[in-house]
Amino acid sequence: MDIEEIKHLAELSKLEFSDEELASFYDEFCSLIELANTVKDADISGSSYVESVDMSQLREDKAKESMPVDLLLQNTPAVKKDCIVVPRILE
Amino acid sequence: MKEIIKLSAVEIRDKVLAKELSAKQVCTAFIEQIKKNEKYNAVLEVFEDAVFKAEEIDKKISSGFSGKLAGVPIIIKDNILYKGKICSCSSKFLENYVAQYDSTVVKKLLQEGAIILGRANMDEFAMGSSTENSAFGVTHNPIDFDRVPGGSSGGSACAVALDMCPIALGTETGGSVRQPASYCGVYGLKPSYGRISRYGIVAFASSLDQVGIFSKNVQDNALMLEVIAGKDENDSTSANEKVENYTQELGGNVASFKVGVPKEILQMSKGLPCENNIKNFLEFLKAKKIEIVDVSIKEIGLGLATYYIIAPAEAASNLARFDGVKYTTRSKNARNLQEIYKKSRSEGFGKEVKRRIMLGNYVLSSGFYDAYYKKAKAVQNELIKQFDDAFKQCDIIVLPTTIGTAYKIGSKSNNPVDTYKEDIFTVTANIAGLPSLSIPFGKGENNLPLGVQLMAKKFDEKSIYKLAKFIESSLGE
Repeated sequence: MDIEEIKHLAELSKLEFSDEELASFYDEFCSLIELANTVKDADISGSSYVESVDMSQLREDKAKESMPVDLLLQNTPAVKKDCIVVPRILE
Repeated sequence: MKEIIKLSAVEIRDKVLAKELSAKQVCTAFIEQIKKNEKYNAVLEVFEDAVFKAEEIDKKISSGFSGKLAGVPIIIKDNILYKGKICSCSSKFLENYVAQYDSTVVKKLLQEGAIILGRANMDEFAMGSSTENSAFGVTHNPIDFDRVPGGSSGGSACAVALDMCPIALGTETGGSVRQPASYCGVYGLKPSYGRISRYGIVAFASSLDQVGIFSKNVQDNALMLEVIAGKDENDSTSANEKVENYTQELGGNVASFKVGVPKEILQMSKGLPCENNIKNFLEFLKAKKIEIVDVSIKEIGLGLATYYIIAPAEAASNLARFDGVKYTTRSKNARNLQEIYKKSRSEGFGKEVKRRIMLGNYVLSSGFYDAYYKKAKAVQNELIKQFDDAFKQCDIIVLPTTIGTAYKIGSKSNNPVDTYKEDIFTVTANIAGLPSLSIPFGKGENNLPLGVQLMAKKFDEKSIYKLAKFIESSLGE
């Protein structure tokens, strides 16, 4: 783990840090990884993880009344004519 | 007659239904108590319509209404949606977020006539064990003002301990109800995963999160679970398991109960402040003729690290929705879409939340996923198996709740791993999906409260309550 990797992680996480924050973050992060390594290095042969989804728990696919648009958009920071406003993506 | 604020939830309900007290009188008394104790910073907002709602309940009672929580004042953690009220998760990011619908638990509370008084302070997005990570200031310990109340549901625990309400709701991902319950000297239940609907609870780590219950006695806790438990079509992870009449089962015979003690736990407790307390607890049970059996959960020591892989991984994914586009906060300094994401999140989230998002993305990233996340899920499976085996030999497993008593505010903030170690005895219940109740038992340093956990098989909250009630009655003798 080096500071460049931390910067890359910040990019993936969509977070910004000052250089000072990055430096203190680096030390903390190393001790966190050390903790996580006890799992990585654990010998639990015979146990494995298989992803499974129990579809029987899903509710019936039935149409229900939706939330009104004005209520849905109540918490959006920028709205115009029932649409969420974002900056232009294509120049 | 007892002071109103000292009454249990059951007593309040019975008196309100018998019209010995009005719901309005009860509500007003508790609001006054919240205001008297503002300096503890346990409650972020008292809902101004609470008294009006109490008057409505009084009118309904006059027309024959009889709810299980009629007139009982409840405080909810600030990550539980109550329509029309702010739900901030104690984060600057959601400071002005207004709930657009009721969570299933709130809906059930209201149906049974409860009065929701306000929202309680917490660690931001439920990440922390001290309530020091709230964007709105730390909550203080109800017994020693200079100490933390525990977390992340520290506000709810403090509110119950200081008689601001008889019952409060919190949430649990790795001990966020049991640990503050232990620090504040109250009861705190983490139910089985799937027992209570998560619909309308702001997600932290979806495969571990559950709503939890704080109370001053066992009966109130059981009553609350009866009301809010059950399958919900809006949460596919809620279980189709029978909800029992827990309050009716209290006081039953526990003579045939076998209590298991994992030998690894006794080993882990060695030299820690909780060591004597757990030994005293076992002696107490033996004196009450409860059979104690040795069990083994070989990998229990891996619980903490497993938790700090699975929980951040899910948190990183869940918190991706806070992007500056949909939920209240958008940075004023952002000039393009990428900057909206980055600046809104960087300005809106606190340090601990950022740390866990980063850790989560690390363990999920290409090249590390198998070594960390997948391996942690395998350890989780192994732990579930080992608990299943242990429960073949006993009905209840006991563990300490915390390593010691509440610590001083600010004393651990600089070292995240130190703080994470606080969760060492609580995380396994979440990892294995098991129910666990922290009950107040014994005193530690400076005469501060300690707790012990009673864990049971998945969906066997009934046995926990039965034994807890027996212990509560025995301690009161």
